[in-house]
Amino acid sequence: MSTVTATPNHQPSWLPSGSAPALRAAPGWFMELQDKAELDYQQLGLPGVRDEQWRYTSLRALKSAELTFATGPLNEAQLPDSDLPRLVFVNGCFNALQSDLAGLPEGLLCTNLANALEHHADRLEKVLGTTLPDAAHGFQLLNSAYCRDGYVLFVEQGTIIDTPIEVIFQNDAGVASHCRNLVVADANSQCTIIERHSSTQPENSHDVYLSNCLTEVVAGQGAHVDHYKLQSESTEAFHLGGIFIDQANSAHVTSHNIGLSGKLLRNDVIARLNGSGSHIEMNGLVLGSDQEHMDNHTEVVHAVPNCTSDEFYKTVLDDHSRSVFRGRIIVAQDAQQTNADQQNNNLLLSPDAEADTKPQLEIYADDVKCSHGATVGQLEQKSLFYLQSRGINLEAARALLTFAFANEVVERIKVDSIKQELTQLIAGELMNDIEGVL
Amino acid sequence: MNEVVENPAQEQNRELSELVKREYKEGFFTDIESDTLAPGLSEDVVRIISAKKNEPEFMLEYRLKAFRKWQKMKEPEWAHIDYPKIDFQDISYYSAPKVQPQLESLDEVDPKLLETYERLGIPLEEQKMLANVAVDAVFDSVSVRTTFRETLSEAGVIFMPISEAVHEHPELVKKYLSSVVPVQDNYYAALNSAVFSDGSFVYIPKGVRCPMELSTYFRINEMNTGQFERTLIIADEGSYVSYLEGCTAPQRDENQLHAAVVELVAHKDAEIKYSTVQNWYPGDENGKGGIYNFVTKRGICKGDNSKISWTQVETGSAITWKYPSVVLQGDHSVGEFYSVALTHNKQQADTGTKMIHMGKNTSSTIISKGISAGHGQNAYRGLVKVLKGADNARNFSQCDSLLMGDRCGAHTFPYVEVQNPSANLEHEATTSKISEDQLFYLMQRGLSEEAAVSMIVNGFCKEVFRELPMEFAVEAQKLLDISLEGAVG
Repeated sequence: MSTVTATPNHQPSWLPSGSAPALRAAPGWFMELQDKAELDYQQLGLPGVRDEQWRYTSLRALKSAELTFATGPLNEAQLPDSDLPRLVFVNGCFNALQSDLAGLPEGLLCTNLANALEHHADRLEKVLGTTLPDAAHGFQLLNSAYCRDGYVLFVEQGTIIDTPIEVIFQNDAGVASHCRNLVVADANSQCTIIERHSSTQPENSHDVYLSNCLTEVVAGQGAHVDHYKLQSESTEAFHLGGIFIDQANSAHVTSHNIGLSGKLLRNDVIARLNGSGSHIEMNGLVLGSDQEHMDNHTEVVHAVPNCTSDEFYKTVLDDHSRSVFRGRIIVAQDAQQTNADQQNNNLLLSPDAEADTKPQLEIYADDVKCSHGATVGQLEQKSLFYLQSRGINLEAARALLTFAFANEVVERIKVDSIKQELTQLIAGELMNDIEGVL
Repeated sequence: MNEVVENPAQEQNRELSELVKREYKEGFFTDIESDTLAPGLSEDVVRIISAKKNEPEFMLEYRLKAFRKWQKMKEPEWAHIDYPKIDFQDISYYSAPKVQPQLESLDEVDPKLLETYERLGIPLEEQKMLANVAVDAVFDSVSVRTTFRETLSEAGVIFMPISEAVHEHPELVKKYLSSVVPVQDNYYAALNSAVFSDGSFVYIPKGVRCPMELSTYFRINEMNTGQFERTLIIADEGSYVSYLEGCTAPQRDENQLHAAVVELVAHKDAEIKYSTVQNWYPGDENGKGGIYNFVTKRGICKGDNSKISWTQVETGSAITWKYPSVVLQGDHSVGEFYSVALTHNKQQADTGTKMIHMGKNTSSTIISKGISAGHGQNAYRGLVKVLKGADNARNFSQCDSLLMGDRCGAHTFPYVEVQNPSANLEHEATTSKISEDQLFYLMQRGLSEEAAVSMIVNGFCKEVFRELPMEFAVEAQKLLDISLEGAVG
């Protein structure tokens, strides 16, 4: 009789060997949470292409990457040119010297996770980890098991913060970092968060690192949360992100997810509409070039009646880049009067680019309006011809139309400075060679 | 006012409960002595099946190869359906009516069989004369009757049970069998290849337009007999054929497995139109009984300018798992998929299509209409894939769902994979319930609620019905009307 021996799960080099370095003054419940996640991870392991949610995403390069578990900042962060209140994380650890929280109003707790675990553990206990999906995948479990820091934002009832809060995440070459962030917006509060993810090196970095960064958002009754995530990672970097949103009655959340560069970018954006009258807007833009691989997996759960969702994801792919979009809308059995819309448009600029899209509707209620649309294609010949007939050369015409395609997502951004920055960035990238034409 | 005003929910429940009580109209059982193998599947059973059918050696080899592959495979579990595990050892894999008719006229056919057909509303004689349709009626596993062979053979068309084709045209069978659906393609296709009972074989020679629409009526009759159809249609260069398939089955309690394989091959400039109306026993209101319909249907547009069109109206079966697909290999080839799938009571359907674009300037159209009522779960699952060399591929997909009642579900799982930038793909899906406004409008014009619903549903499905041959379109509309009596309050 032959016996089947289980092959040991291949462990990548960037997992902490033995038990992870202990956190100073972490409460017992947090240690339990981490231990459980570690056990679950050991059971489950990392996903592979045989998993339906990962079938288009090769993790081979990441699994064999030589990285070390981050223990502290080595370099300083390169700060963007803005005067917004900011928190800075380098290699997954808080950099207090570079952070600046002056000018934030009362009614707000804005700090880093390590500090919050020490001083505000009771407030964290109720929410931390509650928004993660039940069937978390390997990277999410790893994050739960090994997260050491991240930003924590508690906005008290009725507090309205006008200024966006900027959070900088930067990583050095050879580092694997796992940040966990938490935003809790109490009833009728308002806040705007801008996450920026990049390398600590100046532009066009080719550093190899892994940023496994999850953000939890809990929006209370009538709360408004605007969340921006800008990813300009190094061209050799791996970014595995997640944004998990729970919404109470009449909560309005907007998630903007902008993927500009990175060897592998993957984001799981999940919103659960648990309160009547809540609304989620998910906007996404992916600009892929070279060998980049950019994934977005979104899920909207309409758990109760009278909620609305609006999803708008666009992808522009050049060179050998590849993108995956999976958008799932679930309307639970009694979630009547649901109005859900989802759009995913993909523009292929190169013969070697590939776009895979999987829009999905799962509907268990009858009085609903749900629609999804997905397109994959190139620029329209007619439009190109029209512009050329007006004396604009082909290259400029292509750039103009591509810009217009991408700009539809940028137009939805509510923070002017970000909008401008992105407009310039996209225009700059597209119109390098055609300066003077416009 | 002495009228009792029910609230709409109650009203709907009442109507729904009336509806679910409706008996399956085709539910009767014809008692014919038959030759049935004991349940179970092993290499010996495969050998017996092959021997009973007196098959040449190459077929036995083929079956055994498939059986060995099947043993190593696992049942697929990814579909959005839920059913108790099938015990493949509890199914009888062969059943044939004992009287093996070699008949010249209808008079010689077992009168009980004829009666069965008549109760189903398919009198062979009438169809022969009026509908100009050749009918190859499969009663359980063995074809008992083939009509119009002569008319067809004058045109050079071969239309016969595949079990006969194995003897009469072994070179064609050898060349094309499993050329589209490889034996190891999927679990049920492998099972079918190992134990398939019978089915139709069609060959249209070069340049021939088949003089009539070919049709097969299937019935599943023996208790616990898995039915494993195998259909192979080959359209040679420049030919055209339209093939109709329709099915009904008697009422019973045991779930029955039906795992058919249909292969279509269209050569250069050829066109195949394949239409299905499926009305097998869907089980009772509690989901008891009913047919498990796990079908693999695939066509290949081998030559340039070829075309394959699938049209299906799926109203029966407890579980439908079916993805008629087209591989667009030839340049300028065209694939089409038109589907209406209705699930009611506890019915579940996971159906859709695959369009694989390989040749240049290929185009495909997908129109899928799902209707869910009662506790029905209806899923569209489809793939549109554009390979690197498929320049200027064009696809349009539309998946609409109509929901009736608040306990049913409608789901869409489209996959789009594009590796060529010149491709132009559009996918749209909508889900909604029957519009109150439309209902109100029709009813204030004097239509009963039922007539109004029927009209709206038929309008919803019009794009698909339009693709059906005339006599099928009528049957399909009737089926929907019956299936949806009073489903909306």
